[in-house]
Amino acid sequence: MYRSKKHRLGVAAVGLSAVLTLAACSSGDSEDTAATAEATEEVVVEESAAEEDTTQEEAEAAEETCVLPPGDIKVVSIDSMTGPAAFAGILTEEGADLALKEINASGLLGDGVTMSIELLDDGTSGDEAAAQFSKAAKDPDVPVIMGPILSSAAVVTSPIAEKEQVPVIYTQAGSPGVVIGDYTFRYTPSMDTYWGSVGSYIEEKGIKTMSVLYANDNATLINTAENAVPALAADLGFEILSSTGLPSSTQDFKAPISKILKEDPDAVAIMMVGAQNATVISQMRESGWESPKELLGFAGIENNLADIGEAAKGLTWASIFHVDSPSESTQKFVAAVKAEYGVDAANYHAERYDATYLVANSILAACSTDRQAIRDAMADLTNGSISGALGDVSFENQDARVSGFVVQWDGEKMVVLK
Amino acid sequence: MVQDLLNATTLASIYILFALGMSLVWGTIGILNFAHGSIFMFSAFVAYLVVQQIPLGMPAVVAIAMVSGALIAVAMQYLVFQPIMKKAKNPHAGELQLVIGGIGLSAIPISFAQRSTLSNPFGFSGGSFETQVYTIGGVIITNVMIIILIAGLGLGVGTALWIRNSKKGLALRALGVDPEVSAMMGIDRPKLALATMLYSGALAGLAGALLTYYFNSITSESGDTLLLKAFAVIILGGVGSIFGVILGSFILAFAEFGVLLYTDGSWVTAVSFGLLFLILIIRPQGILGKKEVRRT
Amino acid sequence: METSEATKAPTYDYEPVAEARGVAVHYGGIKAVDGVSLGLRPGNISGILGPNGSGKTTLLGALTRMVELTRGSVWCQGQDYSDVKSDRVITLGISRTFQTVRLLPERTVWDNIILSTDVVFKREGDKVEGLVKEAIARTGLEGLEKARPDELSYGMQRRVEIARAIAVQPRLLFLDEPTAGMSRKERTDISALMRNLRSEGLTQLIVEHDVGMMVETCDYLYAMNFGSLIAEGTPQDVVRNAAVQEAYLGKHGRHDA
Repeated sequence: MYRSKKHRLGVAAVGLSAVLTLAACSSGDSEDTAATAEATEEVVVEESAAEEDTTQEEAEAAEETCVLPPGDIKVVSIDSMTGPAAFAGILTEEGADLALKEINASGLLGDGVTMSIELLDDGTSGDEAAAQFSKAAKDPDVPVIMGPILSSAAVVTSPIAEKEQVPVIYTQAGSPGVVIGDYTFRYTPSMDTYWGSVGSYIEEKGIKTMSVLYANDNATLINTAENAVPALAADLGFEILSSTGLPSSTQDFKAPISKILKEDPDAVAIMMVGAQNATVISQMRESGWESPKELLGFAGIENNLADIGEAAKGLTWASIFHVDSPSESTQKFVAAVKAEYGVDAANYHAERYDATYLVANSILAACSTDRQAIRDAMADLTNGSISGALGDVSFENQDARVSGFVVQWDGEKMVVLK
Repeated sequence: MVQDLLNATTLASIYILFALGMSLVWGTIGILNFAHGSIFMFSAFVAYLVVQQIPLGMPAVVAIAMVSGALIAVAMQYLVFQPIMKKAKNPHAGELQLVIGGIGLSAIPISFAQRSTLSNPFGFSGGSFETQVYTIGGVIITNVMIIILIAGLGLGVGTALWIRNSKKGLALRALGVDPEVSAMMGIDRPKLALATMLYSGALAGLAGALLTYYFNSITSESGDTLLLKAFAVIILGGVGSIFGVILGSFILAFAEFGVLLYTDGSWVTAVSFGLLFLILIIRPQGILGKKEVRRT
Repeated sequence: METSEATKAPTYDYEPVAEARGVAVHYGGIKAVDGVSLGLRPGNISGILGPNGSGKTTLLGALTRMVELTRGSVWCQGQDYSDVKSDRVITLGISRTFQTVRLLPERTVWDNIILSTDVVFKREGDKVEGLVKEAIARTGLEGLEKARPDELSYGMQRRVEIARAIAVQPRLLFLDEPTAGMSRKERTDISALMRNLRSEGLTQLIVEHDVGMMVETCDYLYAMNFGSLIAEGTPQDVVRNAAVQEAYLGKHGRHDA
């Protein structure tokens, strides 16, 4: 999985001594360290001299020392801080703020150079996001934009980014049509690329037939249900008995459940929106859907299960982020979030934290706030694999890819199965 | 089949519970209250906040939601709708202003709940109520379903009979048909309006609590979804007719249920709103509605 | 609402049941009623004659507080009720019918009549049914209690309206074109009914443009045109008045509808 070039990003942690000891270039991770040392366009963020192999990195980094003019580099972020997507938007910006705090405290960008984010709230409105994006893209003082998290907004803003030639990095925005050219980047792997990681569980449980229930007005879920699930079915040889798309305004699921019960599949894959997931699962359970019948979910569904707790026990899916992930860079990040916000880190935190570091490192690598130079540096950096809060992330045409891991709801929280 | 009929009837009862208060307010005091959905949501939200602190059972949760709904509705009537009606130059201008006022009002509780929950779903899992599942002759029914069926059908039929047979019901009907004549008959509109809003708000609160139990969790936007359905229900049955609400609820619930049962689901919205358009074209006053009374 | 010199109490040689003092009702630039003063004689049937659009119905609206006064005031039993809301007018003993039938279509005759009676006499609940029965008897609607308005002839529907208006035992009854659209027989019957009510002491004010009916029924006539009173007096005097003849014959022709 690892590419030859490996960039070490997102490990600046000056001022967070607890985090420092977990820094990814600790001696235990020899493979990583070796790969790092070989990299030519190394971007080293580490400021700690506490460990012996950092000196080598610092030496290499020094060769490429860039001096940016002192001052504040302001990038624009368009995010949903209010409205239905605010639960994701607020956590996303917390991730960005944490990264910014570290970047500025560590002096990553050089003496007297800081980075800040001008945050625009789109109110979970695609139109609003597009208008804000258009304005920012036309402002030559904006070097790079952190894009809206709404897919519906991103498919509109990406063509604007390409036309105005401003680099944009997205998190979330998981639908097709978002990463479309040289200027568009995405740090959240789209769900269809890793949903199939649940395949090992499907094989283990001997699942031969499956019915699918998905929100037919959510691009990410449509793409997963209509592409990733059939692809996995072809791959593993299970049969899809039905695939039912329902609007995300559906509140009662007794009818589709009745239909599915008649089909009697081994597993039901549920990909609905928000409270719908809790309703479907509890109504499935009330209808007698119990082990050995299986329920499969999708990344993010854990946010909707609090009110049904025990009923969702056994729900299984592939995730890209978990606080118990064995990745050291993830553990360091989880500790930092805990220290800063007192909560368990969420995927939204992680994605934007990494994306913010990518922006800072691209500016540093470009040694410029010129849009074109930043884009080229970002393209270069994402040409390899990046290790950060999300663990090891590779990119395919500037779009993030990870191998997911299987998680399961234990009645109270999600736990890593493998 | 029996199971499907039972489930569809439960869905119809949910629509009745939600649409009843909205229809009553619209058909009598002439307020098409677009904030009804947010009263529904916010009543459940208040109960949720309490249940987070104190593990209450269903009767207490329902009572909290009903009182909250009634208070919110009365406050809206007193602070917004009544002043609008008073200032309106003529009834038609007033109607439009009421709709706009309702839309504006509905945003306040929704934003508040969105901020407070970060738009995550919420439910009564902090309370002591447990859903019980019973299987009777192969048909599955839960205690929540039984309560919803009794409340929905009971209150629907009860309210319809009350409007039909009581003096207050007669006065409300008169207000709905012709406010000018009602005034000449000495009917105290502001007082009746306040009482109607109170009842409607309590019903919204009841619906909010019971639906949250039934669906296990709802979101800040759940009321808006139901508002559209209630709109369809009321138009189908006929504005001003409480039996029309019952009929409309059954038609919409069974249509939706049937579509979901026999198709892949993408048609459900099209069919329910297709029904609505069909009624608007062939019988604009609704199935049980009366032709618009000519006013001069 | 402005007050003006016209609001000053005029003097009458009788005590009016209700009065308009300098009443004006303007809608934007349209002066529907523009400075009308009149005092209704107790126990009389008074009539306001005038072509369509002359302001008669608007004046009735002002007297029943259904329309806002632009100027002037309305008085009842020596009390200024210009600021009284329309739903309290019935408690002043003022009742009315409407230009078109405005009954609850899906309710019975009984329900339509009991509606206002029940509101007005809610403290004396046991009187209500008796009053409704009495009103039904006085208007000749016996046996039709359970009928719905749309099962009745137009003339009968108008009787239900009158029954509804008199069941509350008003001191003053306003009738807005009570015989419009009726057959000759029905008109004669309604006219007789009004005179019966007068003999029982009920003061009435009729708004009409049917001159013949007005002359036959009324004790005193006012004539209106363009929002103002152009004549008043005995029916014969008013009908012979040149201005009235001009208003009816000169411009609009007789009995325009």
